[in-house]
Amino acid sequence: MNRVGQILHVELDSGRSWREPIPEDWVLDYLGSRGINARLLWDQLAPDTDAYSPENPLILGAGLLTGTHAPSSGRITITSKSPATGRYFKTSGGGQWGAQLRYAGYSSIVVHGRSEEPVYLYIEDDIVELRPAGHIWGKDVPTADAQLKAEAGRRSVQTVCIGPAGENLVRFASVMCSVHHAAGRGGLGAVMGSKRLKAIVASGTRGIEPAQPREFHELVSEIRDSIPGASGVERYYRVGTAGSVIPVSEMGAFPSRNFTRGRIENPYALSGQRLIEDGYLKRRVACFSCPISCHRYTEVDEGRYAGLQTGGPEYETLAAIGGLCGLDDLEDILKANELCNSLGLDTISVGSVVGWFMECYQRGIVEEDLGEPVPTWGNAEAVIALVEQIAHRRGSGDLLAEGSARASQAIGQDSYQWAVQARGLEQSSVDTRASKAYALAFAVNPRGPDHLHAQPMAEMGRHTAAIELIEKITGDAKYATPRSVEKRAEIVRWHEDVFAVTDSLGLCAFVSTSAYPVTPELMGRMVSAFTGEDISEEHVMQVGRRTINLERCLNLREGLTSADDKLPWRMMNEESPEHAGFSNSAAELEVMLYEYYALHGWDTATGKPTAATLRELELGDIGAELGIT
Amino acid sequence: MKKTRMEISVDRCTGCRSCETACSFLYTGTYNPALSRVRVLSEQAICLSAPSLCMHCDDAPCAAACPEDALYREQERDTVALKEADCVGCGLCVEACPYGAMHLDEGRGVAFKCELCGGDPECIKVCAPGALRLVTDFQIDPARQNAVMKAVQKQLVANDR
Repeated sequence: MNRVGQILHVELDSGRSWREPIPEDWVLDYLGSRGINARLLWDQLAPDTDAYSPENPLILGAGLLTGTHAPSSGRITITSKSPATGRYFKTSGGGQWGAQLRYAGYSSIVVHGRSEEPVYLYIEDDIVELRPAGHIWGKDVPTADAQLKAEAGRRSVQTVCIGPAGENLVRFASVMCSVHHAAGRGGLGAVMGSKRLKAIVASGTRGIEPAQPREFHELVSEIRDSIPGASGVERYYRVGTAGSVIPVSEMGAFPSRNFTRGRIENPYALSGQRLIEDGYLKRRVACFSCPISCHRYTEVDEGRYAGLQTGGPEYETLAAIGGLCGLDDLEDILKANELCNSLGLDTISVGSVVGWFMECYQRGIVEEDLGEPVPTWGNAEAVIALVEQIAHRRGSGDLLAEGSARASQAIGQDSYQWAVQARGLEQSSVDTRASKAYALAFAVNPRGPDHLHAQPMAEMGRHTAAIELIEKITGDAKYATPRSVEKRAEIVRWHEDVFAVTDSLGLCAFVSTSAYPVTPELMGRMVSAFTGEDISEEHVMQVGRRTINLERCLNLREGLTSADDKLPWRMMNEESPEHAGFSNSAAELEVMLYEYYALHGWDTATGKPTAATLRELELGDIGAELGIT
Repeated sequence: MKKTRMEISVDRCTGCRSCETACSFLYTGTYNPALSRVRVLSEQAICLSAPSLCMHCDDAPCAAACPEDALYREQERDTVALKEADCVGCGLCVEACPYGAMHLDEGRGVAFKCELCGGDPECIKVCAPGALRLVTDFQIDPARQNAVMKAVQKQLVANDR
């Protein structure tokens, strides 16, 4: 009987593999993927281990509900120590791989060690084998995936796969799930590359059985039925995340030219609406079990890129490569997107790092003899050339492959000031200067300044459901404004907790923190029917809080202090180009952080969870290891 | 008798596979695509997906291949049906089906296939993009139906059998 799956350990040096059941308390204490991965990392990762060391474990997990009929339940989490931040990092991805892992009978995979020669891991029910990957090492993701499917003899197998960028240890190399879905951030593709692990192929035939099958199925069916009507969902289906380009630019919140501008002249040109109207969109695509289908499949039929085929583009890609680098031709962005996906690169970091480089050039502080094409704003040829160079660490790409934090250290000349990154992670395309809950969320995000953590979109107050949520969290709808610093701690905490549980269940944030059809109460009911235990909304929120605290402890163990709870220099020292007077000053951040620490039961001076807080979350033993008693 | 068939719109399928979990749950109480009567075929490189299920062929190859005469034409909807009691699980029907729509339940030792849920298909209820439609009034545009079949067949030919 396959319900929650087992943990599969694989040692790349020896080829040995072994299974263990998930420790009893963990299913109810952490639920799945993100939480269980973090717990496994606590146990398996020794402090001060280098990200590329064989001793750095790479952990992959599917959600508790992944593989079931629960809506939008296909997401996986990949966890390790990041070569970009040097700390705890989790990245997540969609597609179909997580479901196949669960059908094979596993919830998690812990990859230990390093292989001498390139290998891939093949999983098919009981079959767990390391197979040679020398013939696909160096190949782009679509080519490698096709070869892996051919070797499996079935096209229904699913892969997570790295491209040349991961093989070449680019610090923002992605892991591509089911070819097109990026587990993009933090360079975990490079961790996989350092282990010479090209891909993991998964398929299975072991059905998943809830403890209360009829109750579970009826409940998830009801929830499914409520999703199409939830505000924001229809828009994701119709125009994808790319549909956000126009409204965000009109709000002056679309970072462009490396965050020196807040809008672009012609947002329609880069929009999801245009993808449809000009015939680029060929299909809407869904991750496992998702009725929303926000993903895109795009082709270019004519012109210089005729024949181009690519999954996406997503909003963040349009914002990073369109906005930050100043590219205004949609087809150039589609080409860059296709390259990033094929080579296995995080589009957000690519746009940000190249944008940083363009600003360096504009300021005259990179060498004259760069050759063609020159990295001027909006130079598509330069962007496309640099993407290739980065993936293969050639020319300027070798410097840029280090990420903007390290690259700006190498170049000096105050270039750190326009490296829009913190902790080693480039900021994603939200201008936090005029969005205060986002600012706080980005400052405390265990990964670094990005949106896939708390995602407090509700503070924008752009529709009724969002305003109602803010009212529920803070007691007053007046706080549904991004300009206020009040009650941001409460808003961020709710979103943090819910996002953490969403991840661990394998659900997509689009059903819980962008639109809200899947409430924490419904999550509790799904978990109850699935496990047969009585799980309340309070229990669910507690799981979120426990996960956030565990992640904090993981980072503390790697040397994090409250000084790291900050934003990029540009956010903290330069005003928003669109909203005069708005920045994320140290003073303003300090106020919000103080409230945030206090609310979390963390020492307000050090930002460390107190012993009492950790005990209450059953993390007392972890606290003790950190000297918190 | 009211001839009943499933119409598949390849252009609408998003590849979510909710049809597979719904179908397998209805018939087995578990979520298991390997026990689903409808299977989503995909060419993942180009994000093309289509649900594939029994076409209830006029001269059904599965019925011709069956040594036990377990596959027969039922008269209510003019579909090909399986009498499970007569099935010995030999798998010859699985090999004979050109659409990969015939399956073997290894655990129970019998074949299984889509029989349109007695006229009220479960998969249609969960298909959000509306790629599945039950047809009883036969005005299907032959050109469109051919396109569907060709897309499905092409996928199967490329598949390993």
